Amino acid sequence: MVNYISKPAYKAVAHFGQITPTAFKGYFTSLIFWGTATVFGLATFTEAWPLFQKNVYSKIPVLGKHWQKEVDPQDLPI
Amino acid sequence: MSFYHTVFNTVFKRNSVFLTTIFAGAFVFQAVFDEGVNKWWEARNKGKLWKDVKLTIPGAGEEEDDE
Repeated sequence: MVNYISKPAYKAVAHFGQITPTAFKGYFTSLIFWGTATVFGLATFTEAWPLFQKNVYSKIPVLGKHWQKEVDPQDLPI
Repeated sequence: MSFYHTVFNTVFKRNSVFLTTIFAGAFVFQAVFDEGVNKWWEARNKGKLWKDVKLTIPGAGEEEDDE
């Protein structure tokens, strides 16, 4: 009896859309670098936004005191 | 030569690192510059600022009644 392969046995690689683990590994370093750039870009442009100042930037260890607003209670409007 | 080589390799080689350097530099610089200028301004105008003057005003902080 002849044992032969009639066609290649195709097997689907695990993927998300067209991104496979191998492709993702190739992009991973770049994504990390661009992610950091994006975070700092957003930080630069939201720096004057009170919501971000209060919740994010005032909590940065050393630099944070720049965004901590301390007004004498006497000087606040009633 | 070596110094420029190091700078090129650490900052300019990858566009993402270059951009991060620019944005991080801008973010940190504006805070440091602002703090520095404020400190200088307050030192230069010491005694003339509201926080110094209000201590010398008698009755400041008491209730004001304008009739």
